Amino acid sequence: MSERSQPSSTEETRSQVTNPRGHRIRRAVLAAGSLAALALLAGCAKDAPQDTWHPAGPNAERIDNLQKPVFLIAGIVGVIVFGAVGYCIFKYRDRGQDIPEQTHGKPWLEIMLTIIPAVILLFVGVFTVSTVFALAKTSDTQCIINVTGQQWWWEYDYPVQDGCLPGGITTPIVTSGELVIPTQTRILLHVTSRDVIHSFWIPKLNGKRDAVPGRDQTLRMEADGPGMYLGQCTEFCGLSHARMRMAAVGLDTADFASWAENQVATYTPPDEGTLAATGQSTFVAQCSRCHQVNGLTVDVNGVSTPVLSNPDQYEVSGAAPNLTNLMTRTTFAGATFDLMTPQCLDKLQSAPPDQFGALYLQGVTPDCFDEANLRSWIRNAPAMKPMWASEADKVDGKYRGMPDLNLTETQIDEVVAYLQLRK
Amino acid sequence: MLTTGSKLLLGGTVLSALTAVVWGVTSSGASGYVGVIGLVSLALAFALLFGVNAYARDCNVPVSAPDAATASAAAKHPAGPGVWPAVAGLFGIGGIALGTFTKPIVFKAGVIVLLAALVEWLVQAWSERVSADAEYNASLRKRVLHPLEMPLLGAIGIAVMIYSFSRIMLFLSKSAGPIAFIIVGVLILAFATMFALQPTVKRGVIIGVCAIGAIGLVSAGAAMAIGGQRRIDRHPITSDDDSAQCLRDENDVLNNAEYEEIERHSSERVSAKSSPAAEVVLENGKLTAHIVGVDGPQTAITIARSNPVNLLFTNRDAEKSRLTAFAGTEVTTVNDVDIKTDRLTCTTLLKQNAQTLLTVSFPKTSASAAPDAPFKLFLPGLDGQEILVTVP
Repeated sequence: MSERSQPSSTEETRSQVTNPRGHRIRRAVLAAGSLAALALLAGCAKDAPQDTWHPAGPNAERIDNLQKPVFLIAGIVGVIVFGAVGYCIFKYRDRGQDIPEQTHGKPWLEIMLTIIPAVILLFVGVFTVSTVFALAKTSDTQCIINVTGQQWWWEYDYPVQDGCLPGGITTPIVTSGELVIPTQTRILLHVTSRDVIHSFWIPKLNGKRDAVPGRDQTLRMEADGPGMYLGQCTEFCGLSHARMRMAAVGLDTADFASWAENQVATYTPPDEGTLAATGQSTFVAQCSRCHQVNGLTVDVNGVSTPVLSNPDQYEVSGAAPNLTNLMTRTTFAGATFDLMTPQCLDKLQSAPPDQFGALYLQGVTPDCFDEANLRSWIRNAPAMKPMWASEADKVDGKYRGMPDLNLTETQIDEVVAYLQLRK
Repeated sequence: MLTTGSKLLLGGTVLSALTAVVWGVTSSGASGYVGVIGLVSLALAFALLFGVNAYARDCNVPVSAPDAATASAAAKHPAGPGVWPAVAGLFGIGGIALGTFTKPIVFKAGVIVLLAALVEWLVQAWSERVSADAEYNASLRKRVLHPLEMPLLGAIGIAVMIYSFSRIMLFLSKSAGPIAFIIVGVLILAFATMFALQPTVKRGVIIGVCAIGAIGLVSAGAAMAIGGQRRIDRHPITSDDDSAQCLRDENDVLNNAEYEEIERHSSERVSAKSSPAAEVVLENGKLTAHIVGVDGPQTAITIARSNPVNLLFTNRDAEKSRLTAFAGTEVTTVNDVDIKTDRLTCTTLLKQNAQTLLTVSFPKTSASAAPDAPFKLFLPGLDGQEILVTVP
């Protein structure tokens, strides 16, 4: 028995009047409740394009179907454990009482505490393994797209194949920034990297897949309906990792066919005497060393000669975005900067599925063109996106990203006018 | 009774005297005289020391207390003659002799056994004479040697167990290995559970079970070591001679190419082999590519520009083959003369059913290739079999 003296009747009366302990408990409950509410509210967002809780394809659906029950089970276990610990802390707190009887060994309790977690883990394990195998399946592929990461943008190329479209893809397509896919089609991405490890992730369509140099890793991708699904490189890959974004664009089969047809359409040069025509010459002189525009030719001694880029001579990664159809995309420079005005982009992204395809295929129209972004980029790219791209940061005489080309304002006008026609 | 020290000095006296006689008979001239004088002087010195030592009983017992002579440590008999130093020495010398003609490791083991036996013998001999109390002497020996013996014997025991286990796992096939591992694990768990459920277990039972397990493990390990390990395929190794040429046909124009070698560190490529961009297979004289997600063999592949990719080449045909990648022609100007060099990368010459990686990068778009010389993968000497490469 405790030898602590009991409070006098006067003390008891005072305690009942002021009840300081009750106040303390109420304050603690209020503080804890406020923190919990704050944490809960922090999870709310009106516009959360990279939300994993709203899948838009069967692969993401599988992950969602797995993670929700697991979170529920983990939550219940967490509440029970924290509740039991809290109860014990409060109920058996030190009040000067005697140390209770010490016992050792309760076989039935120990067996139960072993069996229950084992059953829970088995339950979770069975569904997890089944999901992992389902997400790794490659035998039911309907379309193949190669995804190549480099500092700090993604390149997508569509090899010649029977899939993707009813007639297949007969001419290879190469694009960047936006991964355009046919909806309700089982896509298999072959993900790799040219330089360091990156990670490809479109949360609404599937989980992550690391892009590792020298390794060809596959990732299933399928979108239920037309729309734009945003993503982000999720493996720290250097200076502009945070500005290495991505977007998957789902188009129904007919729209995807139109898009694919446009990507390999014959090159149309600007009309003679226009600013864009001068821009073509400026582009050939300044930009085509790294950037390819398919079909672009120059006259050499009376012979029309294709202009072929040589990024391997100027860029560390040995590649630069293909600009043949730049204005069919909504972003540039690693999907970081918009080619469209915010209003047009918002209209496109919030378009109903049945109208999305038609709007996307319009590309960047003159009234939607956000010229300021592209102009600033051409004026001084490293000022917009850190890339160690200065003369002093060259590696083996090569740039890491687009350098400041010191173009005049006139040259910038010309190049912008030329690029605006690349649709 | 002669004491130990006296015996040593008496032995020295006799040996010196005999040597002096032998030296005197066999030597002549000044060196003979000097030698005999020196050896006789040595014999006299030993004899004097022997006398003093025998009288003083190795200085262990004061002359003033003759009764203590019988109780002194020096007067005590040794703990008893032991054969183990001889046996251990025999093993050591035998190991050295055997190792001289067989393997260096056996020779080294013999030296170690011999040194260990020597140390044990020395410490035992010393400890048996420390005092007249045999029990104290034994405890002293343990105090000196146990800190060395215990870790060493423990390490040897663990090493024997690990070695035996490794021999068993290397003997069993890949499929049988995990099954055996599971069975052993289940047995250990079963015995451990049985012991845990018993309120008391006799020490002898546990020792017996552990001893049976250890003997079983070591016996099985020894038997399977004699049986030899299962076949384990080696990774292909590149030799410098082999890397000297990507092409074997003598009349080809690609002779001046600068060749790159691959698979130089083949053992480090295991993980890369699990996820190549494509597997290129030569079978029945046909070269095809297999890509994950694409049905059936392909004769054209797409590879991203400037991207070093790994292609896994498998040769299923009897003739040795070398997969070669042609990535266009590079023109360099030296002294106003254009020199054309083909970009070639090739594997080692691969025998039947062997695999190797070809790491290749295509720095230019395939649009830059000449119409009659597209980017491709091919096998020198095997006409008509090639895989076209598209670089977008």
